Amino acid sequence: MASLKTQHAALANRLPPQAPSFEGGALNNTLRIHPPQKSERQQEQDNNPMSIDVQHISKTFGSFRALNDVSLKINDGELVALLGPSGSGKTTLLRIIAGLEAPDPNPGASIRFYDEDVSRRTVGERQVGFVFQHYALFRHMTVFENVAFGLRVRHKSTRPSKEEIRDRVEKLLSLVQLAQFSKRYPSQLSGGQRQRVALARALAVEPKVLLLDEPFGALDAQVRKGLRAWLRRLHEEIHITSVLVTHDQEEALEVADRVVVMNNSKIEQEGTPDEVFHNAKTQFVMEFLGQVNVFHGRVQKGKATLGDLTVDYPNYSDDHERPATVYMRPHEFEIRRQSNGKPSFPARITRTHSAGAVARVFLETEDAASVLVELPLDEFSNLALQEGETVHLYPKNARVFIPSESK
Amino acid sequence: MNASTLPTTLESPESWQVAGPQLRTATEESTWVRWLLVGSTLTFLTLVLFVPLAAIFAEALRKGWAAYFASFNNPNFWSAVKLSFLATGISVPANLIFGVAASWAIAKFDFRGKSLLITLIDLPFAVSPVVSGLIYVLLFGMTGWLGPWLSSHNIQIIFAVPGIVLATIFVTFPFVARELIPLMQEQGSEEEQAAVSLGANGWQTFFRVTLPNVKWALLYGVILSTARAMGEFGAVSVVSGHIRGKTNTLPLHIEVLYNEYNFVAAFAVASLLTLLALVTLVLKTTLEWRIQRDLEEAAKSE
Amino acid sequence: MSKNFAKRQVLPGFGITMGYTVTYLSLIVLVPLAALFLKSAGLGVADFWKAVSSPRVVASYKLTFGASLVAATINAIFGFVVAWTLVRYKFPGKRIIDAMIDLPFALPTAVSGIALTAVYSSHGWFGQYLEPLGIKVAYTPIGITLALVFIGLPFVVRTLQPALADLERESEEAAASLGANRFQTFTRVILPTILPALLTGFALSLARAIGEYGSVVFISGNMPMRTEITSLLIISKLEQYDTAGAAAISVVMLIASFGLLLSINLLQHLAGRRYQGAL
Repeated sequence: MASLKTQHAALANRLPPQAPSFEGGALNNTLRIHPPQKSERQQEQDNNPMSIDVQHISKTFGSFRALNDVSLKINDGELVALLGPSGSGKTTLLRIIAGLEAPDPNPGASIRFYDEDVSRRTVGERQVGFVFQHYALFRHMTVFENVAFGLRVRHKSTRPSKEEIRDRVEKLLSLVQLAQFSKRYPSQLSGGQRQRVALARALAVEPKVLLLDEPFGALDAQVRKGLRAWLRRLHEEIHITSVLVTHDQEEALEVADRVVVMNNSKIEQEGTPDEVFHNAKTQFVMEFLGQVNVFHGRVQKGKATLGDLTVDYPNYSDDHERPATVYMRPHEFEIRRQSNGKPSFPARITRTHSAGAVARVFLETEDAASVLVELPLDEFSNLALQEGETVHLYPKNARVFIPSESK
Repeated sequence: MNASTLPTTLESPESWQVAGPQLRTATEESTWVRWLLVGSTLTFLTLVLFVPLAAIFAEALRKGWAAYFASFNNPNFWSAVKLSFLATGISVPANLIFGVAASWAIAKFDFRGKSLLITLIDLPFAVSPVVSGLIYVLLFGMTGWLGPWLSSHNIQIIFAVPGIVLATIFVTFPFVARELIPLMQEQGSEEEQAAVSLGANGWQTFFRVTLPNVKWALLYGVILSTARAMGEFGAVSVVSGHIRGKTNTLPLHIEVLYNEYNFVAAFAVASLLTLLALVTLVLKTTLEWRIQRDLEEAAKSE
Repeated sequence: MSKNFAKRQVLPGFGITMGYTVTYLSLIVLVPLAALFLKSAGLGVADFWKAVSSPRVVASYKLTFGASLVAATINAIFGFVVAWTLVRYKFPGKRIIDAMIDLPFALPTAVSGIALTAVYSSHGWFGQYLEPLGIKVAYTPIGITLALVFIGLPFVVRTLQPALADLERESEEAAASLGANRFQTFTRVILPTILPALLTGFALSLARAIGEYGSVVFISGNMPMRTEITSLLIISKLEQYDTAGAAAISVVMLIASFGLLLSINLLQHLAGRRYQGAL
């Protein structure tokens, strides 16, 4: 449910796509175009030891295809976020890695932990720590008993002694800062505290990898932020390979070393938070991460045109003209009252509001397309913009995508 | 993601074989455990429930259809039918009115001692059938508190129809109320307050707002009371006096026939009551999902 | 409490419905029950004690409570298996079987009684095979227990079903991911969670069994000291015009079932306070 809401919010961020016609000359020199390129990170990753390696995983529930031939490698000690809207398959992938779900039988499918094939092992044998979305704490057990559970159910031959169990549980509880709550029942804890108990319980079995399913999904915004920063610090302390599922882009970008964006049962893009945010490879990633203004134009012979505005687009050099979508982020605009000769287009200010970290200016082009621009507060107050006045918008950056259906 | 909606099938799908038998989902038992449990369930229910059920019809038809139908050609049978219908026809509406009044008072208003009142309404469930009959004998019987006064005025309650009706009322007392109270409490009184604020009077509010919201639960309570009223044995047995053709209800008639070794007739009458019970089960199951839906809607709108 | 004030102002009918409720409740339930207590109190302590502790009465207690305990235990075990199967597995005919669980509620007890007797008496479908094995069911305590299993079954199944359906699959997955095998998950996670429901079902089934009459009298044989249940003994006393004695034994039975139901409420209250809300 929560993820649906966010998806809705993401949609709301997108402004109505209409074909605008701007005034202005060529702006080739000011616009940076981002052709796909192999990142440094990815090159580096090829040499690192792989802790989780899943290949060609598909999963169908009845007639619903939750995962469609997904492959993913995760480095040792890395914290990776699986990010996507609800129904994108991210939780299913996590549950398959854990062994809570079996992938569709497929000769090429494999799940390996540290070069060992674990696809035939049960969840208990895989030595994963799994943190559930709703914590799944055992409500008839105290905090201490919850954390000790995984040690107490071990076979006699590998079970630690009572004293060892007590020591280890106490250490873990102080690690998650809950030492004084060991005798309480889950019902007597706050949401954030329960989440930390769930984490301590998962860590108690000394897992090879830690898997977290929407770990902060059920918490309110304030607690979420605090816990997120805390989780990042904890990861730096213990350095356990971790995979976290979330539908919250802010959370993924802030916490993870690497973000895997999923959509429609497939991986759309993976990379560092910077890469996926600033160098979106697909329209979906562009729209899912951050706010965008969407415009519809055309491409032909290495150029994209939006009305009178022209953008270099070397990736498409064909003579045949095709429709294209152009994205501009709200913070990548400059607003001026006078034209300075650089490519720009005029728009009328419909509303402004500056009660926040940045000022937001809502505008309308001559074609009645809405545009959102974000300005630093000082720049906003220097300009002294008035609602109703017409200004020139100077895009600093644009990304062009050719919709796939026209291919 | 609601994991609990994922289907758990007994039919072992092919996919398990490929991944190896260990790869069943973490919350499933191994195949042999599941078959063992399903097998125990079916065996147990067959021994305790289904075979006795089948035996009723088999015994009733042991001497053929003619003998079966001949069992109903008996004035004592028809007077038992009449008395059962009479007792049910009085006790169910009486408890219906009570149930509606009680649930209105309890669900729509706050007062001291509410939980005590609810406990007292449930009390007849805790009283065994024989004791339920006995209390009326102690009150209205010849040696009871009101016995001498009643007999001097020529009023007979015990070993007569009024006693049977009273005992039936007692054993079906809480059925309607205990269906309505939780549902009406869950639904709250906002809709009624809105109706009153729009100018509706008490009756209009009840019939147009409250009743449509609880009609399925009400019907459910009525069906349960009817089944119990038609079938009550212990309580009625104590107050009836077993006067043939006069104070025997259908279950008492079955007892008389059975004790006279007239098994075919006894089971023939029993088969009628069994059919009634099966109809009750069908209605009950159908109504349950409707009430469930009402409850869920009430919970949602909160 | 200010809300309560507003409510009373807004909705009509409190006085009349409340008045009717209390009057009807008093006339039908409270006054007759009070008559029972008064009647047995009229006996005096010594006679009361004599009435409720004569050997025949004590034998009937032992039989009634013993058979009820055994039946409730059987119901707790098989009722759990039945509920588990109905909640967790799919198999042909499941919906019909689920609906049929309520048959003992819907079937008149006298009908259940003669049906069970027909099946398990020495000439019955099963009885004829059991008798040569030395197992006599009808007219023995085994038959009484069987009838009590029959009428008590729905209580356990219907109390357990919602509790099992409410079990979060996540907690079982959590246990599995922590290395617990299925048996450990069952004993350490599932069973403690549903224990209050299981105990409630057990107690309800027990309470019903203690007072049961109709389904038992046909199969029990009704021999004093051997197969005479307490409910039947009350009727015998009444037929011998010993109303005070009947009332005294009834008081003992009432106190037993009230005590049981009270402990169920207490149990649910405790279970609710400690664990609920731990979502």
